[in-house]
Amino acid sequence: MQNTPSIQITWLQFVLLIHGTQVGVGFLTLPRELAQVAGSDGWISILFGWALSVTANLFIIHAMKRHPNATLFDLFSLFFGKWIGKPASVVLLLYLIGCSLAVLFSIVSILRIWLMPKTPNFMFILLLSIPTYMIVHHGIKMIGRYAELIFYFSLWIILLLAFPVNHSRWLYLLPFIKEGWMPVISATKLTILSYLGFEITFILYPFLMLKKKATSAVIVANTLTMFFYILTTLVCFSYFSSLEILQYTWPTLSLLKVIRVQFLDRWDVIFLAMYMVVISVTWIVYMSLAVFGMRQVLPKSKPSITTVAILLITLALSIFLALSQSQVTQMTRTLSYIGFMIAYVLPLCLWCYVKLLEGIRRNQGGNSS
Amino acid sequence: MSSQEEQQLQEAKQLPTISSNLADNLMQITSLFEGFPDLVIREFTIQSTRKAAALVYLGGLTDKNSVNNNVLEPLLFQLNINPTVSISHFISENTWDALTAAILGGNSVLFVNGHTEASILDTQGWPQRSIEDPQIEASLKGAHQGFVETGSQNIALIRRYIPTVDLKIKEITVGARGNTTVSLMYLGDIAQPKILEELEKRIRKIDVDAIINAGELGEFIEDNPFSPFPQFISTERPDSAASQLLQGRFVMIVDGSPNVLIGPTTFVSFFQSIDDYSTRWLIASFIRVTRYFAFFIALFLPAIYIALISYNYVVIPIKLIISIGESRERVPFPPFAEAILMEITLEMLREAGIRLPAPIGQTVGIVGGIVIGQAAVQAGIVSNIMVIVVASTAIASFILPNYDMGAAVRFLRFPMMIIASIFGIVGIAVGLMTLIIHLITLKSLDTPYGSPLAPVRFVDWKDTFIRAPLWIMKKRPVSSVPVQLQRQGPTQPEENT
Repeated sequence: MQNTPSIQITWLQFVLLIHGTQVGVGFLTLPRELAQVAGSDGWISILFGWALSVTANLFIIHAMKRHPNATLFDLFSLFFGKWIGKPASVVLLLYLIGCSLAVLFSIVSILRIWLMPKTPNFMFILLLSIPTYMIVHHGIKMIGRYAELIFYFSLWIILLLAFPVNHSRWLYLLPFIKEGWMPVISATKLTILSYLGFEITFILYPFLMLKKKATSAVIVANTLTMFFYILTTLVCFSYFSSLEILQYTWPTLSLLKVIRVQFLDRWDVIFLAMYMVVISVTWIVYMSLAVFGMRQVLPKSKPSITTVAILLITLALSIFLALSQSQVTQMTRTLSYIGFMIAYVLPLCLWCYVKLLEGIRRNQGGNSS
Repeated sequence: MSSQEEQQLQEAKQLPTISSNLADNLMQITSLFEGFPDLVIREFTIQSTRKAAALVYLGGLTDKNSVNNNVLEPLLFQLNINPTVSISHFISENTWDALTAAILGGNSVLFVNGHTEASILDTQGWPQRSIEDPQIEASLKGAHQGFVETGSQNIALIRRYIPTVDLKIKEITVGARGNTTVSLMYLGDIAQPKILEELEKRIRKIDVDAIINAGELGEFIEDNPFSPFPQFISTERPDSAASQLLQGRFVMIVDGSPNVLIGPTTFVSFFQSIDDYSTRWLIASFIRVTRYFAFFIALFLPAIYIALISYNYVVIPIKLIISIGESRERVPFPPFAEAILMEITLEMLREAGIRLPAPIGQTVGIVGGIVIGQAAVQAGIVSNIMVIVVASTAIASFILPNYDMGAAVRFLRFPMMIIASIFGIVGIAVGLMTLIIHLITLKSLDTPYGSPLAPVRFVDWKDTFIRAPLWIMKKRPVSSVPVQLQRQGPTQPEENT
């Protein structure tokens, strides 16, 4: 059942696809969440989270190495046979679609709160469906290009963070480890979820052009994400005091409110609109992987029809379930736990399973000879 | 009458080849070319062989001097000289199809009594325009020769720049009635054979009556006819075409059209002008960056204005919004209606200015631009700020060196305005996203249109946003998929003196 993918993505595209999937809506709320648990030491947890995510990611690579041309969908049926493989694939598929929808709904709800409170949800979904459809059915190669281009496009956004730095008081960060290591470690749980997105390696790995460089690619991708998170968190922590920050749901956005230049007030508005373009990578990647996965489960399905179907479901959900902000958060949280299982627990299990299989085979080989 | 014609046609079909009898042949010719008042049949006796002969040609399409001096005079008066006519190109044919095509193409055909073959003499000479300065793509420092309507002359104009045997030409006839010759020009050792194959396949597939202009050919063979973006560069400058050939691209010359098509193209190639390479690189780079900036202005400025005024006015500082408010005080329309009104007026003015003769065109410009603009503001129909926005948008859209790309931008401005009027700044962001996605997925002759931006090819960035010094650009652009990349030799070691 191993099919060699004819399309391939470059190292850089691979890196930026993972990075683009990791940086999502969490980026806007992470500083507050960290401050809630660990106070001004929260940024240290990001480092811990990074170490864990890189380790998990390396496990994924290791598990995939034996079958370089098989995606997770193929691996399921390869390892566990058709009867367990198919349902497992369907679960993975649902997870991918769920992630895509969660990101889409989150950004829509933020846009509604910050920019256009009177526009109904489904209008936004309808609007965003157009570009989403245009790219998703083209497959992973185009998504790679998109992720790459949007990354360059988003670099200027980081520069915006330089403005609040003028007003920041770095003393807010002191003293280090004021309440011991426990809060820092418990906040790591939060950051782990912010790094979610690297589990797409499970599906993207076969498409990578040079498999040898996969290790460096995932390290670079995770480090890039860590760099973004740490930078924002540090700027937020040094700008707001650790109590003040708790008042803001989206501290990263509130931070930008202070930027004033002569011709433009309220950079947060522009930032949010542009950030939506950046986040589009996340939901587009998840959705296109779901479309790809659909072909593994139902080989006869057409990418364009699958895409339309997913988008129609999204639209229907947005019309019939008027999701509130808290419901969306709840949805994201639930998906995060599934994601945690897929990204952290599954690779470990797979790795053990592969080792076990090898062990058995070696023993059998030893007996027979 | 019609039955008679049919009968004649059938007769013509019954006789695919010519007979040895001159009189029969001439009868056949007159029946084939019925309704051709300019058909000339000159009957005479060849001096050297004493044989009856006839020369047949179409008066309007042949060079009379050539016929008289090089064909008739030697045949009539010279003795014992073989071959008698002094025409460079000379073919013998015996099928009526070939002979008719030759006469229609401006050649003369010589029938000799007793021969079963007629000679096609190359005496082509139709009304021609002299080679002039290109009209649309004005040149500052480049050559002042523009393409003309004759394909062979256009080929010659390009050949002058690249006199090498590697410059190959493939001729393909397109159109059941037009029989237009499309010449496919490329550098044999540089251009990608796969693209050549694809291009040839697409051109051969065309099945129409006739192709009049290069644009029609482009529409038949482009990858995505639903895109507003041009997928072939259409140029009227031989130097530009030669430069593109040297970069490994293909040039399609349509006989009868003063524009040639160049492909495969990328989005950024529409921002490059041949003049960039003869201007100092710093200045050329500056101008090129200005073009990209202008592209965004032309595309988004009215949309941004609408979005900011109607939805996201918090973004505008207080002082500015007060002055905008004052200017908009008397305007009864929402910003979208105001913008659409002015933009459409502007587009109509532009079109009117082009279609009218130059002196009246100017008057239209003055009447439209100054009178209507000023009067509309005073009447309170539009605001001053809107006039500024529209005017800067118009100027920005004219900076783009390629007409097709400029037209695409002018067209895309309207959807952007509509989306901005419904969704504000979010709409603009989505519009930008859609645009980016469209450019990424677009292809030109199966090569990515978004290159070198997506897929990113850093080597090509030397000639993308800036125009790097020529000595740095040692390689051909990767996005034209050439077989041979090196364009400049390794630098010669300098001799120390």
